[in-house]
Amino acid sequence: MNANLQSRRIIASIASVLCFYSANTSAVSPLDVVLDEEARRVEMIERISPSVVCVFDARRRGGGSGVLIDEHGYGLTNYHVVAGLLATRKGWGGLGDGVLYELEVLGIDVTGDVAMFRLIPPKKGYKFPFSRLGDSDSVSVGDPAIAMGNPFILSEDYLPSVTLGLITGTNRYQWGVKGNLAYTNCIQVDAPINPGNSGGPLFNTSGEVIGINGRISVNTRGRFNVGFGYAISSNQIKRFMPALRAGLLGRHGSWQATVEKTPDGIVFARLKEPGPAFDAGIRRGDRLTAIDNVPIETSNQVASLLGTYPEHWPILLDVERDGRARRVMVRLDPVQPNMKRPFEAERDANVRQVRRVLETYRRASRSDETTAVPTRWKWAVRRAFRAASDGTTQPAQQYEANWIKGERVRMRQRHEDGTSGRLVEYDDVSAEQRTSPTAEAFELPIQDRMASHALFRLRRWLVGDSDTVEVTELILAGGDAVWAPTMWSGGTAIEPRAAKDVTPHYVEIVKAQLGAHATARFGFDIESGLAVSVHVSDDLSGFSIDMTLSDHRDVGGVRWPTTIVVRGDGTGYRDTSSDWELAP
Amino acid sequence: MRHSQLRRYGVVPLVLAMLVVCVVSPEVSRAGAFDQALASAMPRVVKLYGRRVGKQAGYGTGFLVSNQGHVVTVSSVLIDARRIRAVTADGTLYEADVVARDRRRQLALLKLNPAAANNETNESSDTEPIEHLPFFDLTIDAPLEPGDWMLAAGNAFKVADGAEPATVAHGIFSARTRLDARRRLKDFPYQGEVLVIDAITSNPGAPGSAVVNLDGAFVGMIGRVVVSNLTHTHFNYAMPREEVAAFVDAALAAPGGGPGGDRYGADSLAMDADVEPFDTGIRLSKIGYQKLLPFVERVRIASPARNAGVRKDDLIMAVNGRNVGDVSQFDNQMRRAIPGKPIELVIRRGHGILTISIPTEPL
Repeated sequence: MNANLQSRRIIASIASVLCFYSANTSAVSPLDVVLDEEARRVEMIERISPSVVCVFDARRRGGGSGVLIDEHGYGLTNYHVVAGLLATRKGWGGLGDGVLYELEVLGIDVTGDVAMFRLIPPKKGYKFPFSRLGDSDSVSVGDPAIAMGNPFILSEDYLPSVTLGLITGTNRYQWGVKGNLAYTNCIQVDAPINPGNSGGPLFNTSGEVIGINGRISVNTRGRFNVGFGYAISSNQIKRFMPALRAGLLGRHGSWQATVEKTPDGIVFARLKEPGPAFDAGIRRGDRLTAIDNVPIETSNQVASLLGTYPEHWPILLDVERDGRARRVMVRLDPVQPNMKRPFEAERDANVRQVRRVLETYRRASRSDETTAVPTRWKWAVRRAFRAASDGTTQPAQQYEANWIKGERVRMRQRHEDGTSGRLVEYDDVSAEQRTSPTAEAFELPIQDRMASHALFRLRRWLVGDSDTVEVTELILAGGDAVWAPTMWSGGTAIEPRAAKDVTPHYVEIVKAQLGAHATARFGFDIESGLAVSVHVSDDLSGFSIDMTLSDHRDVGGVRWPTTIVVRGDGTGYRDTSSDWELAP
Repeated sequence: MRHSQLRRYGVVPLVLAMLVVCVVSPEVSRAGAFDQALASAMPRVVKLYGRRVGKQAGYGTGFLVSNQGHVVTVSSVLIDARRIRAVTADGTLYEADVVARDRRRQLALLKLNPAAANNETNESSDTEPIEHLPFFDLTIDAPLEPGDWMLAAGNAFKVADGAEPATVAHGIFSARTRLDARRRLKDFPYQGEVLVIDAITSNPGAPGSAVVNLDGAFVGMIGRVVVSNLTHTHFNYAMPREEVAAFVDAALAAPGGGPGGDRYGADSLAMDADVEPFDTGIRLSKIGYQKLLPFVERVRIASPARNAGVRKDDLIMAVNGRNVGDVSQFDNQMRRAIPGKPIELVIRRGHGILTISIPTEPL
């Protein structure tokens, strides 16, 4: 008896200690775990349901569902939910607060059945409830999932219906109708999804949106759920978001090639010449082993993965020929969706996005808001050249740069012995190279001037007065992926094919006219807001360059890229800057 | 914590057990509740492709039950195909032969043909890939109580291709009941017990899906699609493990056919004869050449048909909205008649067409 008592005490103390350490799971009783889990779920549903939208047409009749993804009222739904609203772009969105807000349709993705809308804030500065997009690639079969929306238009007060189920399949491929409304690499779920649920969110147990519900399998019994619902993956939608937000037609991409299954694996069958895959050096019979690091096993999988990329998107392909593996980057051709009447991009929506992107860029680039905007910068640059095709490399060069706002930038070459070398000077406003009477001035190659001009523009957006920002001349052209910062490592150029296990940065592209005949596409990182890439093409000379901006460092209250890689026709170098001095 | 427990199991193991529970619980709670069931069911499910007739889908599901490549599925037109193709979870394509059929339970046993596997070069005949495939042990009587979770894994709607994982449906085991509780309402010969599931499992391609409990133990198989003639609703059920096991045992003991098995039976989908046609008092003429037209020979006195006005020499053209061209079609429609609902006849009498409604007694 005594021994028993003692042991009971021991157990009690051990149990309390252990349970202290695992307090967040309180795992002693399975019932407690279940009750905790249920309480957590109820709490989470209360938290996320205000972001779910009941979408109605202009006459406030039955429509579908949607979900808000930011506080400004931007939300996602299915294209087929808003297809009927495109003539006026106007509809209504009801939220769980019981209020019906005006809804404006922005960009659409007809091929992928996604559309973006905006609820009009009732007053300036109004903040809508919203949910975040999660990582749909982290979803696995058997995970619980929650679907929300307005099935059968049940909700009178716009509080969404909630259904709970399991993820019952991932990477599913559901055919489209005449090329439209294809659900590629989508999520299959058995949470009941019914007519009216279309466009509504599928949540994971953390309350993140992992997909947009829009499709079900039905048989002879009628159009209602039989346990097979499909959601467009959030990771696919993320790639189209910049275009959709900016009121554009989100077109999908094609590599203009077909593959077939053979005993050796998946091989390329037919390639369009010229076409993205062909131009990247892929030929009939080449074996495809991976797309964006996803190993390829079936041709169904290829179709499924390719359906998730927007036009011009760069994808990394691992291919094999005669046992030799190589990696190529392919930019996809646009695919025009089947539409009765052409879609007209929304200019106002676009201007709003340009303003937002530039504002985010300014805020992200000002590490210290209290310091005055600098008007003079001095820095040193080390320029390392990429090896030419014959293997030779130019020796590195050193420059000293000096910028005075509104006046000029002057770059002077410094030799290793400390003596000055050549000098080049640009006008800060026009970015034109100044002809200098001095003999030491020199003419730069056109690619260098294009690169400098692009950097001028970025600097002006950053430190210029806001009224000089010419947003109305700019266009938000969609999204892109940038791998490039990893292409250079330790001063050596690495081809993209060698970069393994790389995840690209997603950027939003702002298109701007540079001078009279050049166009630049500035890429702003969606997560950080910083400028990370620029593509410049000059119509007159036909030259184009790709710049990647990385290693953003804090230099006197400003975050500026200290590594700039320029690649283009006949050029390739990397500028590393240091010794920054900024003066107000 | 009771004394008797402590004494019985001893203190140390209990403390250790608690330690383990507390330490591993973060992982346990992170892992999905269905992981074990999925890990068991997915590799044992086989996607089947075969004959397609009318609304019958050309695809279905089976599951492995032996290390010899035996696969159980439902007996349907699918396996009447000249060539049945079976894709195992690893994506290997086999051809399959029908070993046995059970007409009453509507089950079929197939055997994968290793020689016809698509990824084999056929050079090394010693390789027996089938033996490495996981299978369900049908002899294990896994516990299953009403209220327990269950998971059905299969090829419904053909959502998966090749090595892509099959689909799953999850639900709660509701009850064990007899299908014949609603006799006459369904054209299904099996009258034994079935497992009722609260998930929608009656879908194209789903019959033959393996049903497992949360531990991943086999508890049943999604049966053929059964539709109520009364409400046109589908019935979501599974054939219990012991029925599947009994069929497989018998089929393997007597190759060529199990109990009631008819190996080449093309009529396996026909109405079972033990459901008698509804008798309204009509006797049809049994005279005819090639085809017995449903002419009324006589109508029993004081029968519902007589009271409703059916007469000798009437030609019955339709029953309950279905054309009947001969006596057997008439009988089939009378089997489908629902007790308590009137039987609507369209009759040709002389040059006139008339409609007669015969009331029936509820069951």
